[in-house]
Amino acid sequence: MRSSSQSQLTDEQILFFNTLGYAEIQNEPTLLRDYALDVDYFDEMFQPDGKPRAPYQKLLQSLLELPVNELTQRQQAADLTFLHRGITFTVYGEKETIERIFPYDILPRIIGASEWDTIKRGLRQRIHALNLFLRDVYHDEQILQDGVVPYDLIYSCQHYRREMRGVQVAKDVYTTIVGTDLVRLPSGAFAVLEDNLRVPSGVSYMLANREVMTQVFPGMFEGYGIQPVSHYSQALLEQLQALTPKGPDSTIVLLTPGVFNSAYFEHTFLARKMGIELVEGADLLIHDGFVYMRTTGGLQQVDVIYRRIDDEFIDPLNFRPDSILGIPGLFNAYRAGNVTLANAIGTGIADDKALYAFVPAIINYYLGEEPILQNVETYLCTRDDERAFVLENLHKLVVKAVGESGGYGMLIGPYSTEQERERFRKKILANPRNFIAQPTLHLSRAPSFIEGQVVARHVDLRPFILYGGSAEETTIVPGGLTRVALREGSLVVNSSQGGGSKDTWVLDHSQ
Amino acid sequence: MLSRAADSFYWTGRYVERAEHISRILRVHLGLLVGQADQSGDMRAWQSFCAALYLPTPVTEDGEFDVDAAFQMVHDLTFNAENRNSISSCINLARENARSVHSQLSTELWEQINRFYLRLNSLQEYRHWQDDRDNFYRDIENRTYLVQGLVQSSLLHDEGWFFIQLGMHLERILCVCSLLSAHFRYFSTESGGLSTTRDLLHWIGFLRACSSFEAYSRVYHPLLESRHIIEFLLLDPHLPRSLHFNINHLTHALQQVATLTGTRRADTLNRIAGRLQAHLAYSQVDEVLATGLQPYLSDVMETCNQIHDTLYEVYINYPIAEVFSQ
Repeated sequence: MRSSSQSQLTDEQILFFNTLGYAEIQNEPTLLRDYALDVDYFDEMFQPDGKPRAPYQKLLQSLLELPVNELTQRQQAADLTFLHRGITFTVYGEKETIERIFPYDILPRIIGASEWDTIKRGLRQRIHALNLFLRDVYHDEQILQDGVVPYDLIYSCQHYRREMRGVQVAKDVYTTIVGTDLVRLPSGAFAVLEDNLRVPSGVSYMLANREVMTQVFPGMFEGYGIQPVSHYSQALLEQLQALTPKGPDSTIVLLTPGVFNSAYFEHTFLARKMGIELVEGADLLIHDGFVYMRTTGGLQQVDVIYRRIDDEFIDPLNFRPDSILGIPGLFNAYRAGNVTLANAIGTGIADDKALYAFVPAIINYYLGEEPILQNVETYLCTRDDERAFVLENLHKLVVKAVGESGGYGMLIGPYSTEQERERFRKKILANPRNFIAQPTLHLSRAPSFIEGQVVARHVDLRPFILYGGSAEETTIVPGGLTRVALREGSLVVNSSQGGGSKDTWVLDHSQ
Repeated sequence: MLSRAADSFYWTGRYVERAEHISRILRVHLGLLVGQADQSGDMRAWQSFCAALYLPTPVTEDGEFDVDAAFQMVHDLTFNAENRNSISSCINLARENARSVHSQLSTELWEQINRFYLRLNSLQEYRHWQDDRDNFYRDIENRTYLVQGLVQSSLLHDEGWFFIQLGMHLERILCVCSLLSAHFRYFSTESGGLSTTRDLLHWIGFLRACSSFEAYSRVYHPLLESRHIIEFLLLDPHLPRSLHFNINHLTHALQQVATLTGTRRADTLNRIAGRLQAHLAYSQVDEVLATGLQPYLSDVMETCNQIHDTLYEVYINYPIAEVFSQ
């Protein structure tokens, strides 16, 4: 293992500046002075020899030519735009509540056309297979009978919904909206880190990042052919309309937990872009097996609900009785086929972190194909030999609770203390089904503008997949949300833990 | 339109109007104090100012007028978000309501409301606002005009817009009524003429607080007469602050909402508003004076509260059973 110092200019860096033909940079402080190359990670901008990768060439050129304060000014303009638009999340303090903007990094993350093509094909294949799997698990259980996926893995999953057995889901589309997290391995290949099949969020930031970037830094786009993303909301609306025979005449609503939800901005954003009503649980009621919303002109029947409330909270009669967000009796209307939910109920079984290990086999089972996008190596603590390996190597591995998300319930081995490892050892032994482990990931690094300098920070990528019943009827807007770990050395990109985001560019084929 | 959304639109309209009203009477009232020998000014000015906002006049333990408490009250009315009557509180609430219908607002309108809110919050710690108060309150008023302008020019004039109009006009009637009632309680004379020069300033101030002084001077001669003022602010159909003007717009908005929603339950509501409109349209100032200004204003305010309640019964909190039995 070879590591390089990140604090000062190394021979390696001087070398790469030289190879670029920017010899003068050695003497003058520039924006890139602190940019460290480290062969342990894939660098999105530079090849290991210090030459820029093709998609980043123009961006690098601009960075080297820009006046020193330019980026700072643009960054401030962007932050102000986010604040004025109210693209914020709420922090609840003891005395007062404060609204903060999500940290935004002004340097875009750039993906080449052919790389994107692989991602797109891989995601279509994967999401189609997962939908076939969900249909199978809640109906015939063929894949369980054939022993490809063990029965107990399904029945022990906290997101498995017994109530969904035999329920006919519109067009067999279980997941209309998916946000799959990808990471780039040191080899340069993209791998799937996790599938978010329940109520994935973040798409509004993908769209807002592009809008703001276009507004505050148009010059940066010059000469780049970038595939547009703004048609996302139309594509989503079409997929939702396709779920009901009424099509464009259907009444579609977006169900939000309310203004106090941290994703509330996203809910309003999407409802406005699609021109549909944003409703709360209290706006809806069930009568004779149909769903109605209370309007000024009386009650209006609802056909499709794009719900941003988790399964557990959606119907206090059938799921958690203490939920005040849901609509009593909704599940009965759903089961009767009188209303469509997107996503369907019970999809969490397919993004369980233990089931994740079986996804390559699932793709193979239903489609007879090899997975285009690889998985990250995963150890299941339910298997005796793998559990023994995990317990021996806790200091090297990342341990995750299977039902958690948002970066919670994790042990990052190399950064953990002896006590933390001991606590996880006990937890794993007490409930092996609840944990999986993966090698510490070497997330790729991309240029980020932090405190006046361009530095390398770890990133991931969450593309958003709109699934319509087959690989062909699937829309993936080019790009996605690139999350960046703003703290030096940090691998955690979640916004709840010091992560930010940046605009993501997918280049045209012509380049 | 969702009932909850209609509710939010309605209150957005009311709170923005209320913020404008409070800001203007604060500005006019503080302006009148400038140049007076005694910083507390005319006691009656404070009394009518407090009465217009339904607040007690601050007094010391000895029953004397309490200047410090009065200026603290002014500060609270501006910045204290806990105080339900304050500008800060109105703008916070306007924004909260706007936020819950964010998806139905134009980007421009939402952004303006949001910036207004951010601006007021950033000035919470501003120590020198008193020295700069005229500009300060004008800035607040200008921001309310911007919001109202964007309501007119950037929002679809459909149901949501009419609910904003309902809130705005209803609030304006109530504000003008309370201001009229308070001012006449402390400054009117038996004869109806205006006695001293000092009082004249207060009468001009009162008209300014209603944004109506210049208009009054054009319609009547600049010599103020309380009979004309009553006629103007109650019955003039062209003055944007008069009760008559606002009830016209209110009834129109109510009819439009009834048409757009196609509900037959609106009959009672439209009847109540229509009766008040007819009353103001066909009253003459002598009749108002015969009834007495204060009872007349009480009646108007009573009817407005009735309109508010009925609006809720018809469009927002209606019983479900009633809908299914129709």
